[in-house]
Amino acid sequence: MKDEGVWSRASGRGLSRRRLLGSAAAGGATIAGLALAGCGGKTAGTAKSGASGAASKTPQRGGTLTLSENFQRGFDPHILQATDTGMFGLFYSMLIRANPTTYEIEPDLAAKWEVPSQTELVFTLAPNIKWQDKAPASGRPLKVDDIISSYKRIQTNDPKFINKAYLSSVDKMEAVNDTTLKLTLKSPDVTQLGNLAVFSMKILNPEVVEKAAGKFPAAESCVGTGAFVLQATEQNVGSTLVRNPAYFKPGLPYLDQINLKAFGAGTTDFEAEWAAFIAGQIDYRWVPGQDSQKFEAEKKGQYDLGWTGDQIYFITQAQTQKKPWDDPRLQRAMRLLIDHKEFRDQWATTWFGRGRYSAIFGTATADVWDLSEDEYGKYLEFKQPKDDANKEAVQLLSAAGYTKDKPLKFTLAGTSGNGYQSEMTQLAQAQYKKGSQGALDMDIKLFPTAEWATTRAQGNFEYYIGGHSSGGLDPDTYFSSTYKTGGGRNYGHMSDPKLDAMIDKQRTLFDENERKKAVRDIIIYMMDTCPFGSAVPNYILTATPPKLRNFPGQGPTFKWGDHYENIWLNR
Amino acid sequence: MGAYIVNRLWTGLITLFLVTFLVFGLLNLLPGDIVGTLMGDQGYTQAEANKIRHELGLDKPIATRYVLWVGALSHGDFGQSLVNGRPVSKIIRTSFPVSIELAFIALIISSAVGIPFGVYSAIRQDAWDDYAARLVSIVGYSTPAFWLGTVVIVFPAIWWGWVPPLFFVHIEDDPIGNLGFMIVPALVLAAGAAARNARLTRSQVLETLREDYVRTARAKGITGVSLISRHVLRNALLPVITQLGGSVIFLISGAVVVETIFSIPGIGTTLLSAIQHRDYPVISGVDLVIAVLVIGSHILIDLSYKIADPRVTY
Amino acid sequence: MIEREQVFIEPAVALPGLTGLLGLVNGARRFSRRRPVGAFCAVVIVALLFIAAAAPLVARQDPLITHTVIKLQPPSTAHWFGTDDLGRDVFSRVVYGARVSLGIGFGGMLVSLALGIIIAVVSGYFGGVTDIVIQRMVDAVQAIPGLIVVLTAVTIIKPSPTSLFVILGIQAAFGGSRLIRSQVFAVKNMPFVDASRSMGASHVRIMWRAILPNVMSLAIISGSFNLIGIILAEATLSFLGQGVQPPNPSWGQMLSGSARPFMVRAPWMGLAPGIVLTITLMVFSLFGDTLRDELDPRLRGSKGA
Repeated sequence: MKDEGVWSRASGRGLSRRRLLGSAAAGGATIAGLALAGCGGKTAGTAKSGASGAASKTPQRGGTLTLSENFQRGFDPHILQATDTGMFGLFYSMLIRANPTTYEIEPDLAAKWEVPSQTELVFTLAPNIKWQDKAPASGRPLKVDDIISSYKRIQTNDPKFINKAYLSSVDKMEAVNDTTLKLTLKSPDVTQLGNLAVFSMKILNPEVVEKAAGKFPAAESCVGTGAFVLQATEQNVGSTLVRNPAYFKPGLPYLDQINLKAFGAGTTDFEAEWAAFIAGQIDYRWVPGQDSQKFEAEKKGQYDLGWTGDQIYFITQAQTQKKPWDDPRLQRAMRLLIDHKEFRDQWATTWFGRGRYSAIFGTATADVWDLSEDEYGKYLEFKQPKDDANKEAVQLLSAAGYTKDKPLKFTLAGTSGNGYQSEMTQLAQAQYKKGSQGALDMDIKLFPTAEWATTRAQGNFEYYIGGHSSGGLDPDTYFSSTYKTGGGRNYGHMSDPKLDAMIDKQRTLFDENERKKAVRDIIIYMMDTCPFGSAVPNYILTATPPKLRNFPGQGPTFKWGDHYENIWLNR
Repeated sequence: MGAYIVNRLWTGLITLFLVTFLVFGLLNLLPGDIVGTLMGDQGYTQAEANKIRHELGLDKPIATRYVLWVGALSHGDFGQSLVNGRPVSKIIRTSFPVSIELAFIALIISSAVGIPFGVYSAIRQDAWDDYAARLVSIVGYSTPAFWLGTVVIVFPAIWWGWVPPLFFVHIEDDPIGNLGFMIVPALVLAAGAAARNARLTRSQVLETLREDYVRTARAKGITGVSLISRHVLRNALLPVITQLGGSVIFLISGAVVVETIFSIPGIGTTLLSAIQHRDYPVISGVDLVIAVLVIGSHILIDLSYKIADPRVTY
Repeated sequence: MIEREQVFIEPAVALPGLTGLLGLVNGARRFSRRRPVGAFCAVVIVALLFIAAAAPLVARQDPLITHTVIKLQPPSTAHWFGTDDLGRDVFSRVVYGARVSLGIGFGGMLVSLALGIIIAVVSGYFGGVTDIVIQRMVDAVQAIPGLIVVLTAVTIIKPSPTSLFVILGIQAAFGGSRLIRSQVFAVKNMPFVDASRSMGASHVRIMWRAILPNVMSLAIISGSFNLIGIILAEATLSFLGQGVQPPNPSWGQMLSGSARPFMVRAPWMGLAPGIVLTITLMVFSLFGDTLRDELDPRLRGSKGA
């Protein structure tokens, strides 16, 4: 009997929870009631200080929540990347979703699911799901075919539909009956279930899709099955959402209304947003690193403080299709020159408050799947002090033909989109310069956000450092998107057949321990061979006012909009 | 006079076409296009990019696209944003009035403060209060608006837990709230503009005070307020008014930074965002409206010269 | 009447004598007695220019070397303006930043002054078709929102300080030319200009001797606006991510970059370049006023000759 437990998690955490709930009967694991109890999972997961006791008080109905958000790209999640679609969970639902603290998979539209074999997933929908009461859906019940049509749409063979990869293993989709959906996979793939919980996998109403004909700019085109109905939206100003009285989870949502306000247009102005939070104009904001120490020290009583993992990390990529960046000696030297301790203790602490060592994951994934910091410290690249690593780097550079008298001249690319990215690029440059003792001579070019996407996607760089995300929490999303040959985010076009094979293999490992080991082996293998490196991923300090309960959290790059039905205000 | 007006309007129209075509051309020189934004973070092949470009009509030559655009304009169709499909006319209709309102309020404040300041400074030339006044104005316009704006938002929040209103409300929904929202960014903008007006006014008044006819008036015994208001100001202020005209345009399209910091949904941020995304329809549409405003205001100002001083020949 | 015309047509007489070093020194002494503030500003300007030129001598540390362990330290004897978020010495960065900001400001101002005056004088003096054509061109350039022009130009050409001051200078020239042109109209119809023409003076001579001196004061004011505007434009471009690329410091880049997020925790990061910038603009403005007062005898105040 395969280990059904692994099917219940987006990432592997929660072993103890599985034991707590008792192992499921043969034929499938069910994690029912996790979300339906209205707990939102705050009892497990990362440590939180302050009184949050969600289970200790009875939720109250009513109230308005005010937050910062600017919908700029329309309301079609299928053509957007996951990190742009977080808040869509307010009005759209998914088949399953991930818990914001434990990262376990929870029911959403599907109340339970079964795994008859390694290539079959069978979902049973919750009762009473209705589309919101807006034309042309007008409150009709959800059909299984609606879900299938959304999934088929995600797979549209058009370059705009950038989320196809999350359904790559699916062979057939059928509506077994009115309430049951069956997915048949092409081959055993343990990650496919988790992929259904990626933010962009929202279920849209087929009539609306047909009417919109590809353009979803306005509130009218936004009709979902979620807890809140988008009543009005104005770009660069804000949006208003009201409670969906016909929401299928009984008794939810608690809130009456949510007001979203835009801060700045294009890119959010962090300083204004933060000032607004301090002044109580918005109800929630992550704490900028610059203020985290002060907050932890002074504001413990005023807010519930907690550290949460983030879903981005900071990657360095070499453009292996341009000489001399295909030289493994140069690639390795660049990795060795990065001082991770300085990044973690100085840069990450300054901008976010905390960081940790990880070669390839964001902290949310790293906390579950990665090597520990002590283990990392044993590898030359992470060893302190940096003298040995720098010496090795200088030797490698010299072997590749670059010395102080004949340095390698190149442009280090980065983005100016955020203060922390700009400073990160400058710090990297300083480390490269110092460690290489003059063998590297680089200038920096920072691209504004809009051009940054094109620059990377077209491979128009020699070496870059920048924020990077995988779209999901499972390690496979990182591997397949970035380190596998032909991956959608493999901008430097690295290609290692041995690594590809290792990645394919771990997708088929249904035993949790086996899979964890396989992931670790990949990380260790990549330590010595991967042309891409990284800086340090970050944590986020979240500050929740005590009146706000069950808030799922958000950071600068993503928001858990799909758990808002559990939020209530303690008045 | 009539012939002159017709002439100006006609050449103005030609200039308009010239401008819009220039912008089309300039945009074409910009590397990159909307495809990067649409495809998000994902890598994509040239074939995929070309497919999107073809769908959006971006693979046609510039001249064709220009003609198509002008043709659509004649129907009142400004096209749609490449980023999210919103009609450009709607984008312009919602963001322009906001910028104009902000510019207008800033203009009133800066004139009401700046011009009297400048006159006073001129009268007291080289006295200590002249220097003091000039110092204040120089500090006023040498502080970057984005710095002043950030200070105004951040420090009161930390010290007193107060921020200026940061949420936009429409003037038709809530006029008081709208004004309250606009007043702080308008003050920030006006700080620089007022200082510039003060300096220019000072120099202009100084010059005029030395004119013969002013000396004559003084000799005749006219002094003080009546001297200033009746003899000096009318001539001194002509260039100042020119400057004001120019500064309105600047305020409208140049207030990007203030708009960003104060979350004002105006034309500056719309344009900035459109440039970064290479959203051609939006850029062209916005540019058209700005061009009409600029050319129109130039025509008006030239006309006012002609009326005020018939000696002026063109 | 004749006396005034001579003053108008031969402004060279009004300038302090340039022949001989002694003459220069004497002139400077007389100048500083006449215009103490202006002289003081001149000294400060020279000092700023010297600091910019001799940056490696004045700066105490390398502005680019990061030393994150000492990050965000307030001003001290070791670091006069404190350190920034990467541990760099803010004072040294301000000193090196002077090179860039002053270079861009000055270069741009000169470009804008020269180009602006040429456009305005030619257009205003000849009038007629010439004026119409030139003014339509000015309209066209001004009608394209400055943002588009500058951002496009900066994107196509690498944003080095040189390309920046040329672009910003040209932009400012067109904008400022209308102001000067309005003055040209006022001047060109004055009797003494007719007189010169009837005496057979060529167009160039009239433009150079009669028109130019009389628009000079407005041009200088316009130029000083431009100087300030250009330096601020560079700061704004940096705010939008298009200015001088880090880690090379310019005042604008320092103000709009990491100084903003650290405004509360490390205010010296922003105050240092901000105050220096303000002082710089101040002395240039005041000196510009003084210069203009000198060149245009009509404007000499009670303390003037």
